[in-house]
Amino acid sequence: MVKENTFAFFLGCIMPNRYPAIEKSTKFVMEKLGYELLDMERATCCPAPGVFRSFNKFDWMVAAARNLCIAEKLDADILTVCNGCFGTLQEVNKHLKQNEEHREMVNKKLKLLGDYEFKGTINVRHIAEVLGYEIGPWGIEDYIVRKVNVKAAIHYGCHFLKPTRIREIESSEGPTIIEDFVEALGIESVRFKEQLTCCGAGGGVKAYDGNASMTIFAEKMKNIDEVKPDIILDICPFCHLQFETGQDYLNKNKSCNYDYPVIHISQLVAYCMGMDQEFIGLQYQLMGRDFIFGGEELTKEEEVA
Amino acid sequence: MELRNYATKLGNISPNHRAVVGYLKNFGHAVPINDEVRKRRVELGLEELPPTAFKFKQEGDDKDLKKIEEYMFDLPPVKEEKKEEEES
Repeated sequence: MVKENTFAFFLGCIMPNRYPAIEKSTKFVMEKLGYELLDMERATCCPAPGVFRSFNKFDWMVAAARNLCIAEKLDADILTVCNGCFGTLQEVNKHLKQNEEHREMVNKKLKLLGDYEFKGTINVRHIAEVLGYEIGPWGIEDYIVRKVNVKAAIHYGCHFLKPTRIREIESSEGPTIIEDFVEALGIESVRFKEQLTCCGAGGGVKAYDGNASMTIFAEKMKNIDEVKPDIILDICPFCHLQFETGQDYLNKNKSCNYDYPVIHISQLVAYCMGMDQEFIGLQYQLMGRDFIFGGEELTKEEEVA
Repeated sequence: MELRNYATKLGNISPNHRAVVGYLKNFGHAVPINDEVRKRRVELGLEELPPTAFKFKQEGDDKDLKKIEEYMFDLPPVKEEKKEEEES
């Protein structure tokens, strides 16, 4: 049995190494919600599914299993805020629990890396799913001190829901988990064309061919710009990086003039739970630096009600 | 996926993707930290380095990354014709 109300916090790469404000916000949110987050010392990249699985699927499983073992030693389920990390760790965890032959092969190689043995004792969770289903829009009302009043273009990304037979969260065709949750925070979701397509970063594309990645992204931004949201809301630091650096690229190279603030769900929830905007970290981002969340402070009566 | 793995085994892997493997072996991350983000982390009240394998390497304990370098994602050398293309 894993520890209750406790998570092994898997940092991944882009959040701690590019957007630490998302890390700060996640810690704030989870601790306020009553969870303890444990450090996963000596963890590495998940490793990213688009690139490393393509190079060597077996080594990808071994490296993922090494990270899973760190959480198993902490007796805690993993919490991630990244779709790619979720994709890798959830998939390998599930696969090795079910496939004895692969588990034995992976464990044999894990011995070369140190004192690791995959036992299959934990689960892997994504913060959007914890917030959306475990806390829920009905539960978050008890914890928020203010609501924002903004229109958001919500980007689900790829690995959170797909492949659905492995994720088993909800349909990837018409999901509503994020819309339902953030509505309780005052967000109005604005639908846009091809909303559920990739941002253009994943699958090893951004690392391999920046032009192809930007072609896909330009289409995404065109569709978002048509509905003029106040913010772009994501649930993945890699998508976050794409929306941030991609807008900057299109402005500089394709005569665009985008300045949409890019907000991860942890940043939004942290703000609504009372975190100062300074720690939300928009001042460190490329886009929407001057954006003020604003919104409506809840009075005591409203909080009680 | 099998085809992609096979192509890699034959050495058909882009220089950019080779670099990502190098980052994993050197830093434990596909996207390594930089000085600017180290500073931001401190400003936000976080530890300057996250407690991942790279932090331990910085503190002189590089056993994790040495093992990853030795045993994981062993790529074939760059093909001669590719090397020429990359150098030209």
